Amino acid sequence: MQTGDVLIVEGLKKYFPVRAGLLLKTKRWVKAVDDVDFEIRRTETFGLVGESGCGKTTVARTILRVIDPTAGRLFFEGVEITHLGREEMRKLRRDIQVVFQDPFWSLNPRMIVKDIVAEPMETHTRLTKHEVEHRVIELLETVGLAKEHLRRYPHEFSGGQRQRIAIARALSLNPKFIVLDEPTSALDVSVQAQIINLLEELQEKFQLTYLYISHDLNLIQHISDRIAVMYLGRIVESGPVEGMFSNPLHPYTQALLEAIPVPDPSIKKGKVILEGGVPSPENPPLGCKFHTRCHYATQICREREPELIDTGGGHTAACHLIGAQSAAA
Amino acid sequence: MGLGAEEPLLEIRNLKVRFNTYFGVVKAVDLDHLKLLEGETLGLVGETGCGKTVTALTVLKLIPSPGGNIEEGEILFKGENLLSKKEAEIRKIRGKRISMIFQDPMSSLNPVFTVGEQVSRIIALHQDLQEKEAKEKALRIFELVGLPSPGRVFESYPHELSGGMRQRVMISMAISCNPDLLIADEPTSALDVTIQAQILRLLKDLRDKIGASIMLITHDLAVVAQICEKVAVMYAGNIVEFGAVEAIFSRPLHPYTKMLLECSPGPGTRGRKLTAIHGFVPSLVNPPPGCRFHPRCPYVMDLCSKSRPGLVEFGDGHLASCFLYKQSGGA
Amino acid sequence: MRQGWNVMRRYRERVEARLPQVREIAYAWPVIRGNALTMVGLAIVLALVVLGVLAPVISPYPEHAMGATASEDKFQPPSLEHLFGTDDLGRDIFSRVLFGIRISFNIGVIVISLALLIGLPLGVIAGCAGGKLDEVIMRVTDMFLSFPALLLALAISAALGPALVNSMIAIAIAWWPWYTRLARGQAVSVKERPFVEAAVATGVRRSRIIFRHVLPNCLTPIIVQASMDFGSVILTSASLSFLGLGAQPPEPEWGLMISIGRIYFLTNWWLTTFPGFAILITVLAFNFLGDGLREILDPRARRI
Repeated sequence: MQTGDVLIVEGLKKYFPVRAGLLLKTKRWVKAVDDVDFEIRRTETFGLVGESGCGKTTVARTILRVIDPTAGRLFFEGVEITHLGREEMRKLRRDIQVVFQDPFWSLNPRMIVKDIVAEPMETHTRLTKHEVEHRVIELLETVGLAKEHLRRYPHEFSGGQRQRIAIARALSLNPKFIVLDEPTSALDVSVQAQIINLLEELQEKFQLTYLYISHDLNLIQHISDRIAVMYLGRIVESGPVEGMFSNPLHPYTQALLEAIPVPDPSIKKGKVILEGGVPSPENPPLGCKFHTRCHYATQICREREPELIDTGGGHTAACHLIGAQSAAA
Repeated sequence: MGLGAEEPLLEIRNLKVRFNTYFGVVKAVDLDHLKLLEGETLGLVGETGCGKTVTALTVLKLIPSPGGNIEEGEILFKGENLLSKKEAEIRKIRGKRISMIFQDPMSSLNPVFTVGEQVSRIIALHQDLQEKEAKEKALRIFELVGLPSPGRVFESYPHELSGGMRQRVMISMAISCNPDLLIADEPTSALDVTIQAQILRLLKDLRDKIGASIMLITHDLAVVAQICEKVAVMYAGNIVEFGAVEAIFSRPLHPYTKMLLECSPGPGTRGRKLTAIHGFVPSLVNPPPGCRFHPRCPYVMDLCSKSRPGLVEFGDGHLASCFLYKQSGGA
Repeated sequence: MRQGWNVMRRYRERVEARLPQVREIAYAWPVIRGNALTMVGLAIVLALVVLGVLAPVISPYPEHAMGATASEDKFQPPSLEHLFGTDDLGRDIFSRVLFGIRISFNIGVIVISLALLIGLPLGVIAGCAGGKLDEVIMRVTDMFLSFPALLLALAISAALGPALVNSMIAIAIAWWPWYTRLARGQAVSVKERPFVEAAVATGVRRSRIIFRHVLPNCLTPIIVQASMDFGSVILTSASLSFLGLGAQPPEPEWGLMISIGRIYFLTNWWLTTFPGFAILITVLAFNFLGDGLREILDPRARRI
């Protein structure tokens, strides 16, 4: 644990019960998050990458304490928040904010913009109505909107503008740490560029720390400092972004990079394509969770779950064949 | 590779589509010219609201009416104008000679029937086959599109299948009657990246195996670069650039195309600001006069607000609609 | 004249710009206008309201609705003097039907307000709380729902004694569970929406989350249901009065009028027919209105 760490996640697990049968007994567990560790350093952007069902959104929700972890520990600014009571947690919530993916449903359709952006302030501070309104206008201008937008409803805005409103709301209490859960996935590429630029500007200006969740590796490559790749509830590879992309160790990371199309017709991707789909988290494969789709799977992969191995420079990967790979390299 | 003297499979000319809304008349599509040759994969690319989906729906006359209204234009499919055909005639073409794949397979499949029933019903209908023969054909197509255990999939309901499998089922439905033209509207946007790679490979395979001509609609330039041969870029209802995929990506002519290519994040953009196109997509009730992109264009000139540049060829089948370039001879 | 319109239009635009609620209604109007049935429903309801409000002024024999009788004129068939004829006590049926509008609308408003006041918060709290509280509330609700509304209202009304007020209370008690169930269903899905999660993550207090975030977003189907229920409530109250449990003579309540006229139906059809017609038109109008409301309230959300 370094003193510069804003967030530490240790052994995080979140299992959801699957109730079935007449008496609705808990028959199985969906292991949405299964033993995840990482730290996020001050003012860095930590990227969490994975496809649907990998558990990245669940990780975000547990960090925000919107749902409670099944096991593991969470530390924010050195304070353990895993089981913090409602009142103490509320004090910390000023510093942890969130921007969600869905620009439509992340804002209350029945509230006007002014009230939406003012709500965190109304919850946590004793500012007068006048002061709050003044600050809301300031925030709107910071994110590129205007005073005229105060009394409008969310559905009167475009997707990109709605995300700006969500960002304004997130900034309203001068937080230290913002969780961004796919904030631009639903936006057009040109709008996405505007929002990404805005987020980076704000990070610089207000010294913010970001947890950026996305499935878009190109985007993650652009904005993150360090990243972690998740598959079926576990981190399969993590490390500084340059190392991860120039030398991906885990077969899943390699497959992801291979699968992403690039806007260059001379580079035809698709030489190695992953077959099949992601197994259901209710019934994850035994041993290495990825072995069912892995081209390199061996006997040991089917039997034992690999541990995260540090290969130097903070670059870790969970694969039995790492030793073999680096030996071959 | 030029637009040869071969008759195009699909040709759209002077298409104007309007929608009546509370806010006024939305001039959704103002398309000068678009051609798709047989066996070709054409990418129709653009952001939200550019009119690409409306254009595709117009080909199959699926524009909702009242409200939507095809004001003028011709859509020539193998020489015949689809817009002058009656509903009954078009119904014979839909699914049989031109079929469409939609973006979200979950909402395009009926949840109360098994997928097998849905696919075989279409086959039986269009090809006048008995139930048993239709089922056999369906199973063969399921194999063709790479569905594992076709028999089991046949008996499954849509919600029992994964997103990738549902999309393969959609593709099966679309190709079941050997259409001449396949229109795919954002077929991979709702899918994970690794599944998207599989589906894109499938579409490429189909092109090779059954000679399908595909019109692929997407907002993702990278997808276009992967599987399309020709590209048409749309903005605010107009086609702003058209050409072979290599030309568009290496020598984009229209400022919008250039900026679109530059604003995608990637390995090369690290550490710098992304090129953003300032401003917002214009309302199509009152589109900007002249060139619809001019308020956001960094190269705007006086002429741009006065009249709309038409699609002009700059050699080798590469067309752009922009006053920046003089005719015949590139920039 | 044109200047007048222009001034009004500019004023309207300024108001629209400042008051979001006005803008919402302005956007909704063309949808309402476009739907013929809704327009019919709205027109009838408005007409009824106007007629009801003006009843003391426009009815030819207002005293007949308030207790006076004129036995020498009994059983007059419809004529120019008595548009709907007279009843067994010589009272002008047209005037009584007009005053009956007031009673029916009163009943509708009071009963539905009461039912919403009880049912809506209960349903939203049940949906948000989940767990045991949810179970308890819903089982109680189910208990009430297992009885047909009319029978339940009947039983309660009988227990409370025959009076209009009692029948209103009885119907409200029979009615609230429907709103609870609707509200709970909505609440369960609304509480999963990102903006609710965002509010939780921001530390907003639970009571505010329930009443500021969840409840307002549950209203759509409830408003639709409530507007259609208006007609059903009137019908139910008329049924109770018909059976002698609601309004008591000499109140000009439609159900009561039908009940009284029933005996004479074969010879003097107008005693039952006109109040019956009034009920029919009112219920239909609210049904059309409710249908139209459903159209307005839903697709609007998907505008952009």
